[in-house]
Amino acid sequence: MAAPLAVASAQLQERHITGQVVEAASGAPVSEAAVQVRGRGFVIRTDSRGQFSLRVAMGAAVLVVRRPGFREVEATVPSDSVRIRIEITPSVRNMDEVVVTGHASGMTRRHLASSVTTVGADDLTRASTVSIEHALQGKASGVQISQRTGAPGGGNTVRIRGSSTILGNSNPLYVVDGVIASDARVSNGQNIVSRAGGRAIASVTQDSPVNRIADLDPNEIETIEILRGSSAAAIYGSKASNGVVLITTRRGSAGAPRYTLSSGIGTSSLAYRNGQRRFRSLEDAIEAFGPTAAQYYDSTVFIDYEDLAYGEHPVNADIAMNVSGGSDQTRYFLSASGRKERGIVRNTFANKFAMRANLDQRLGSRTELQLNLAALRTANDRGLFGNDNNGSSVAYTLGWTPSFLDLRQRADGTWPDHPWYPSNPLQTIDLVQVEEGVWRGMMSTRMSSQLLQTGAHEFRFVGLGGVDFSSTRDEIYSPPALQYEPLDGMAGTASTSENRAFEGTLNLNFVHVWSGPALTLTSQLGTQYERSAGSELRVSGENLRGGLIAAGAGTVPPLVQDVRRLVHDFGTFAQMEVLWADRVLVTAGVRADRSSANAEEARFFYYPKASASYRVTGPLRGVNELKLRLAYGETGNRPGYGDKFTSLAAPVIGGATGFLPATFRPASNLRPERQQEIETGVDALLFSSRVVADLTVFRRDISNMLVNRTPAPSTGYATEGVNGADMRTWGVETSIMTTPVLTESVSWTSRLSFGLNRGKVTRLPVPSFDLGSPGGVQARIEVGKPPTQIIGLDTLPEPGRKIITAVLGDGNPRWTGGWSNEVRWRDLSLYALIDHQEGGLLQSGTFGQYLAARNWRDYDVALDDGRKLGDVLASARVSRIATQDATYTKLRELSVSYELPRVLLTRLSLDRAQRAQVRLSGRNLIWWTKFRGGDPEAENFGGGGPPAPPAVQRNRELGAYPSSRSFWLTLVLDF
Amino acid sequence: MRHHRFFAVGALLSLCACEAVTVPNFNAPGIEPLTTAPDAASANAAAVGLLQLLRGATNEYALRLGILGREVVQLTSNETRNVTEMLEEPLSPNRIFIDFGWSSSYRRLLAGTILLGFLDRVPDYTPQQREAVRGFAKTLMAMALIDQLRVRDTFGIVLDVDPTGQSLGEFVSREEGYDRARTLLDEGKTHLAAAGGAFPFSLHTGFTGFNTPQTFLLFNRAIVARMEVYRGNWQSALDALNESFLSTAATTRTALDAGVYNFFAAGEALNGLFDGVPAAIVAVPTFLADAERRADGSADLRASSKAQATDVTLSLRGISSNLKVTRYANNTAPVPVIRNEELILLRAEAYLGLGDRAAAIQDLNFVRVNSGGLEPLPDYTGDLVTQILYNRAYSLFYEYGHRWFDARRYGRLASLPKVLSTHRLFPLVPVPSAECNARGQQPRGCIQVDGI
Repeated sequence: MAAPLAVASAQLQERHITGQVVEAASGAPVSEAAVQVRGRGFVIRTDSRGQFSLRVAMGAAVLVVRRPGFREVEATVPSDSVRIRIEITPSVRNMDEVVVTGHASGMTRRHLASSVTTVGADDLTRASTVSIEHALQGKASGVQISQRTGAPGGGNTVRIRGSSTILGNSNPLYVVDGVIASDARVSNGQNIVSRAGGRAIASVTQDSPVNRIADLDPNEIETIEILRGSSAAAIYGSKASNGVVLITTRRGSAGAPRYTLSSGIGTSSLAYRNGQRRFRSLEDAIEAFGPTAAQYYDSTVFIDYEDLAYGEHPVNADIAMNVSGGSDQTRYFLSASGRKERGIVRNTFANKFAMRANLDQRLGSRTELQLNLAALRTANDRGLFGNDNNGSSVAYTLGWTPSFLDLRQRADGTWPDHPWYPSNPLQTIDLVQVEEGVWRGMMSTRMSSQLLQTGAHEFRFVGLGGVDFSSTRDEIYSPPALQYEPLDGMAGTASTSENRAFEGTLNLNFVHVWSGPALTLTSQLGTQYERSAGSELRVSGENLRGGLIAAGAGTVPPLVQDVRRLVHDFGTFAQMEVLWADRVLVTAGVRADRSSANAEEARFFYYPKASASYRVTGPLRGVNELKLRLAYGETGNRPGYGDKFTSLAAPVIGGATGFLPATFRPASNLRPERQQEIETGVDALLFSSRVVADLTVFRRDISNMLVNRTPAPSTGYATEGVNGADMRTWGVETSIMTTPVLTESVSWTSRLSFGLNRGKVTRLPVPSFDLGSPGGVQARIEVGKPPTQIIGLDTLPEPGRKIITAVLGDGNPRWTGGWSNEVRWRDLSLYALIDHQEGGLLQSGTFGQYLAARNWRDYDVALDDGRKLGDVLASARVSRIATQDATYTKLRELSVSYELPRVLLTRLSLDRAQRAQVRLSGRNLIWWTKFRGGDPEAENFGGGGPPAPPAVQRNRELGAYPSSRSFWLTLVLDF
Repeated sequence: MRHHRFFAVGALLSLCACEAVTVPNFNAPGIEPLTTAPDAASANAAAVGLLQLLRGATNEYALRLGILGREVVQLTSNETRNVTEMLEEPLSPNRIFIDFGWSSSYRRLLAGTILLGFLDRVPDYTPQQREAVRGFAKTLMAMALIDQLRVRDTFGIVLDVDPTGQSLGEFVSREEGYDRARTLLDEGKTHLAAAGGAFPFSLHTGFTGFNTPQTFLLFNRAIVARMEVYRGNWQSALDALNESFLSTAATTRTALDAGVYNFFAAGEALNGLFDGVPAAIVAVPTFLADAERRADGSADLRASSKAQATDVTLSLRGISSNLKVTRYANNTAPVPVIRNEELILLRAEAYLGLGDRAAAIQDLNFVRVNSGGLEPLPDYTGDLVTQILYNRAYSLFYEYGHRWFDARRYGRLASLPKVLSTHRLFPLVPVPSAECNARGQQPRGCIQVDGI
């Protein structure tokens, strides 16, 4: 009986208020702002005139107004008032957003003492993409993101503030909702076919693997925060030296169910064409391909092999649905999405499906519980691309295929053999399967409980735990019919791999907050336990019986690979933050870390941090806020599993096992590399918050760096580890966000980001050494020089044409920057992002093949002295010619979106829709680059470790899957 | 108070750092069997390990030196450095193919040194078994030195490997290198003589006929003969040959092929010298044409059985050859380490060196007739060195890089067919740059070799 009574009395005690939300400076009405009564669940939205009406309880009411792009505002409606006008101010970067500063604490950006980039949901879904790193390109200053290969499914390298290691892990740490997430690069096992890394099933350096963060669905993400060393220091200690990427997924807010449906259809096409040489005479053809060219040459035939191999215009689709809502007690966010993308190469694709449920539950008045569950499925076939040692890679083969040669499938279904190369690329595309499927589950839970609250004191417990588990299956099949297959005497090659990865996190934290009149003191103490484990189980099959697809059909003894890893990390963390008068923030903290991966498992390594910021409001005319900040932090880069072991090689000969000392001798006292980072900067809010600018200067001193030097081979060892190289990196980052125009009907927002960094090796415990294969392109590690310095062979000018080893340049770009602009006119919005990299060097293997085959498009260009350009380049050493400036400018994202007017929605019977948007978008649409051979972002060794560590060996394009431009038409409905 | 208790317990829980976890190496056995308390099983395995390194070096010598000696060319379109670095350009320490077995030789010496170092501590070996392993290891270690003396010649080599890795061995002259190899082989002989009737470990089928200490000694002496011929100690060579397995009792192919071989099998290691298509490795274009003719006008059997023209022509950077190498029938065919045919030719050489032309001609004829199907040399008055080099080139084609080394030691490098006139012939090979970089004072071999 109580419930109806309560409802009745509530109705009796309510009153009706109306209001309007306007932009503070211009007075323009703001539509689509969410208005909520504090303490009440439901949310209503302003109409196109910015107006709303709602019922509130008797007495004064507090309204909360939120709208993307504006600062959150609370307004009180006095008990005697029924109409209110609420002004909100735009903020291109929301100064009130909370940025993580500790395991159980955060701080508003307004006070933050170090540089943290936040990218929000809107910016992640501008143009559909498979992997979130694509959506970050050009948006975070000082963060270099390269697409290692154009193959569907992703594969990216993220470098935050340049290289901070030589041989160690160079990838940032990914953390999703507080739980460490695997970004493992796991080889698919195609090496058994390509032999790029010798006869082994897998080569993580050569198989251009996807990095597993690509499994995440951008539609589920609320924000991505990028922490640099100084801010990540005490939080993630020995795993933070490459920066930390914190991903927060979306959560429900109280209110009626709110649905979003986003559905898109798209296509893609080849973005860069190498073209081919047009052989003008039989003599030219014979010069290039030998006397047998006479059998094939026909001056009237010109077959465009890039059209045949990379000419697909696939139909791609993605769909994402979510619903969120709930009550004060329980809130939910549920989502499901699917994406199907086919490549520009036939038989290649990347599909993914994701489901997520994020729940928030209040348990009594003091405790909140969160539960996040996600299931992810990814599948792809990326074709046979990348480096090879048997002539099977499609991109290489194209270089060796002249336009007059017809390799197309015959009418009877058979394929002609390539007379001058071991494979027919069209046959390879048609028959090879390089399939990968991943199932992944992520689960995390967070409990936050207020243990005590008395006066100025508050004690809280924040506990967080979760797991990230993935299971990957790879099936590689290269059937016997392929031209290259019988060449090794074993026709037909297959490999099957089952790989597992597990990351588990458990954090227990206590937070104490003391709030005085002008002073807030936040202290926390906690422990973190992390377990990282994985296994790779692979088997190969060669000389396949009956051409069967399964590796078990092999008729020669199979290779079997069973590789496992397990690391336990334990850390303790303490931190204190002091905020005084909303002006000064001082933070000090330390983390103590130990790991089973270190030589001394029980030893703790300490990672302190300290920072301070001072904020002034309105110091000068036109300056709303100015903040000076200074931060210092130490981070580590702990060794990988197994790096510390001295192992025994156990080859088998004549059926007997032999023992030999392994060729690698590890550092005797292997420990984490240490990075000390200091940064200082200024943040400013100018001209009524129309301009938000920040500038940061940093310096990193990295010590105890692990180097795998090559000892004198007469020691009997090929490599040995040494902990003890030093490096210094400095850099500048800035970003400026402005809103030059903001009127009722037109707004223009512009963002500029810029970053540069310079590194220098300052100490080496070993002589200078080179990484990579001699005679090709190598990184030379040398005191006083950047760790990314590239050397290669060069030919001195004639006469003599002596060949020398020369420094070709620095592989690290001089600077990178992004510039985006968004113009809204009424319901129409135009957005463009330009991404630029200045400098850097990249060796183009693909171009090298075209040149070596005398098949390069510009081969016949005549020089002043009558010689052909191709003859001149081909006779010079490849490492100089093929190693080119990798400067590029790309139109990274472009979108035009239109908010369908109410009238149209009604006509379309979409009355219930709150909002409907149609968006036409594209990615990587236009490139400007002088680089020849393919995508200047490509990195063959981006996945690997020694002898091609990605930190310094980024500069190799070796037969990469060509990049594409993509187009999407998307409809977004909110109701 | 309740909350305070909760807090205190929680704080204690979270701060008590649980025991540090030790995680073992799941993926590779540790070095311990070779360092602490090795037993007979691990000592046996360490001895077998030396055979693996012997096998691993076949490509370095047969193929790499085969290219320098114009036996074969490697025409791989996606790795043109097989031509540019091996034939066209000067050799310098920092080139990719500069190793020529250097690393593998010293790894063999390291493994051998470790093995010899702990033999006395192996509890379950008999004294005879210790001697057997010593004799075996020293023989293989001496071979590692000889392999590098062939390649680096007057640049000299390093003799000693420190098993702790703390110090670097000194470079010594070629002469000191040969002296050390001879010492090791002679010590090996002494050990083998005291080794009883069997090795404690089993040797693979490549050692059939040489798998007891007594028969292994025949192999040891064959290696002595080879190195003594290399340095022109003709009488020592002849003495060693007399103690070796040299035999002219039978004239069959089997008798000529008797000897020690490297073993290959699918699942272990494949014979990388085999190229069935061919996809990369072909004989130099003049290999068949330069062969002597038999009475019926056909080519020397040693040429026609080891390479044949096919309709697959490989071309790269101006080199074209359609001569498929048929020396090895498949990818598990054994590769000779040393065999009777070589011993007979070594004896011919030793006789010639001692001035006994008739005996030299007799041995040459044995090989010419029985291996090549050629007419015997008549009362030959011509240059016998030319005959020796020809017969060694065709008898021992693509086995161990003999042709290059033979031409070099007789100063007849220029007689090798260059293939293209712009190509180079190298008398010796520089020391790898990693070796140079690790040393303050640069060894003599840290220079570019321009060749001729």
